[in-house]
Amino acid sequence: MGVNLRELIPEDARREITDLRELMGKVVALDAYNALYQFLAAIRQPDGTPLIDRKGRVTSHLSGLFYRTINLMEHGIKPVYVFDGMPPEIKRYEVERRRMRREKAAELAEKAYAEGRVEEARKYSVQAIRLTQEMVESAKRLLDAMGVPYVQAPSEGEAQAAHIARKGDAWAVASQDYDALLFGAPRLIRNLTISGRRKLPGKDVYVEIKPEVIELDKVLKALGITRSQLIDIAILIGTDYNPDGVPGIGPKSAYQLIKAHGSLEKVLKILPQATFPEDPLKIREYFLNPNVIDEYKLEWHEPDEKRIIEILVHEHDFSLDRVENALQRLKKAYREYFRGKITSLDMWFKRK
Amino acid sequence: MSVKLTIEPKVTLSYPSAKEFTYILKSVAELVEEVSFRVESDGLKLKALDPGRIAMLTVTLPPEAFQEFQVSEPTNIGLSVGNLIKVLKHLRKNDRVTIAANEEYVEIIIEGTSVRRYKFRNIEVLSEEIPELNVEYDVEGSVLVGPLRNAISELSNLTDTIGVSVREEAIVMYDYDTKKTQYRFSSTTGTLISLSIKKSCEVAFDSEYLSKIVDILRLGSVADIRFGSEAPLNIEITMSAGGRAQYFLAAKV
Repeated sequence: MGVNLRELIPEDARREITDLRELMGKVVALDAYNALYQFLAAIRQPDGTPLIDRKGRVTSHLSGLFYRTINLMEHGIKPVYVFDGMPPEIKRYEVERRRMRREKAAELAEKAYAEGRVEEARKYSVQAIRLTQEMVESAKRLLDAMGVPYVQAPSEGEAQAAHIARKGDAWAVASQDYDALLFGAPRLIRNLTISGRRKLPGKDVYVEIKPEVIELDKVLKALGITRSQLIDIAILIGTDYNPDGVPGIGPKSAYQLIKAHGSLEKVLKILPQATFPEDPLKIREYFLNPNVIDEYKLEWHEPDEKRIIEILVHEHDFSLDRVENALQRLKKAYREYFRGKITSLDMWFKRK
Repeated sequence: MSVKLTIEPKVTLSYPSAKEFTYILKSVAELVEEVSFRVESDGLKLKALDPGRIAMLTVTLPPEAFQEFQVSEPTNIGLSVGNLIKVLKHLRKNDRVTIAANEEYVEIIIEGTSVRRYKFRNIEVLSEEIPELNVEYDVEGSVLVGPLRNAISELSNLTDTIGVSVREEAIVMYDYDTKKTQYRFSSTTGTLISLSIKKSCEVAFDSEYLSKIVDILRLGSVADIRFGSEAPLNIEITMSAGGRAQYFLAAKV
C-alpha cells in the first residue's frame, strides 16, 4: 500500500521516461511483492478471475514476471527483484488489517459471482488478491531459470531495495509505492512494471501510463526538508505502520506542520489527540534504520531455456509457441546487453 | 520556388534531391523519435543522441548544399521523425523538397510529377544540450563507402558484435564472435585510401547500432573511419551534395 506522497512531489523532481532505452545499462532493484501484486491485479480473464493452470494454480504473476522482465531486459535494463522477508513488528496492525480486508473481499466476490454480478465480483476479486508462499517460490524459480538475480530481504523488500540503491549497486528502486524514498533510495521509478494502457480501478476508463523517475535529492531540496522530516510528514499522513495517519491531516498540512515546527516530536505536542497503533518515533527509526543485509550477489546469467519451458509450459500450461517466441527475445537481450556490455559516449563528452 | 507557401516563413530551404534528404532522416529516425534542426545563416545543423547515449549522429549542411536557402531569423525546426519518414517514403529520386518554417508551423512541399504539401506543428523537442565530444583515436583511415556499407550490412546479418581492427596495413571488420567472416580494406584492393596508426588496437561494436548508418553512407563516396582502444568509433562522410555527417558509437566490452 505505502504512503501517498504524490501531492507533495514537486514537478521538477519528477521526470517521465518516454523511452525505456534511457535506462539502458542501469541496474534497477524492483520491489518483487509490489510487482507480483501488480501482475496479479492486472493480468486477469474477462470475468476478473486470475489466469490458472489445469491444477487450478494461479499463474498471472508468472505471466507478468516473465513477459515484463523480458521487455525490460530488451531495453538493456538490468533487473534485480527484491523479495519481502518477515514483516517488522511495527507492521502487525497493518498486516492484520489487510488480512481481514482480503477475507471480506473474497466473501463479497464469491457472493457476487453466485448472484451473477460479474463486474462487482471482478472488483472484489482484485481486492481479495493474496500472494501465497507457493506463488513467491514459483516466481523465484522462474527468475533463477531466466538468469535474473533476486535478493531475499530479511524484512521489508522496499527497505532492502533502497539499501542496494543507496550503496550504488542499483541505479534506482522500482515500485508503485513512495516508501522507497523514505527508506533513502536516491531514485524511485514508478510504473515500470505496469506501463501502457491501464484500466482505472472501478471505472471503464483506460489511461496511458508511462514510467517516471523521482529523485530524492530534488524532492528534499525543492521542499527544503531533510529525509527525516519527509518521514515525519509521511507518518502524519499515514504509512504502512500507521495506515490511518492523523485524522484531518493531509499531505499539505503535514508538510506545513513539519516545516513550521521542525520535527514530529514538536508537532505531536500541538496534536495531543493524535493516536498511533505504534510509537511514531519507532516508525521513524525503522525508516531510518531498517533491517537489511549486505550479503547479496547481483549477477545475470544465460537463460536456461529447458528449465523455463519446464516451469511455464509443462508445469503451468503456458502456450509453448508464445514462450518460445519470448525466449528468443530474452536470449537476444542477454547476448546484446548482458554477455557483452555496450559502453556509453558519456565518458567522452566534454565537461562544461 | 514555384509553389506558394501557406505560412509566413522565417526559414526556407530547398533540397535538390528529396531522396537524399530521406537517407539523412532515416538514419536520424533509427536513433531518436523527435529531432530538432537548427537553421542559421551558416547552414543547417542537427545532433541526434540516442536515449541510451550509445550513439550520436551529427549532420551539418552548408547553404551551398541547398538550391534555396533563406534565413531571416535563426529558427529551430522540431519534427517527429517517424511521421516525417512516412510522408517522405514514396519520394522519387529527382523530387525537390522544400521545407519552410516559423516558430509555429513547418511546411514541407514535395515537387515532382505532382505537388504534395504537408503542414506540421513546429514541435519543441525537449532534449538537453548535447555537449561536444573529446576523443583521441589510435587509428584514422579513409575507405570507400560502397565496400564499407556492404561490410556493415552483411556482418550485421551474421553477428551481434562487429570487431574492427588494423592488421598488416589494412582495416579489418569481422564477425567478432566466430571470426569466420572478415572484410579487409587495404590499398592493394583499392578500398583503403589512407591509413594512420598510432597504436594497434582491436575494438568491438554492436552490429545493430552500426547498421543504423547504412542509409546515410549512401550520400558520400569516401568515409573517414577513426577508432581506438579508449575511443568510440567515428565514421565521417563528406556528402557529394555538400555537407558532412558524423556518427559516433561507443564500444562493446
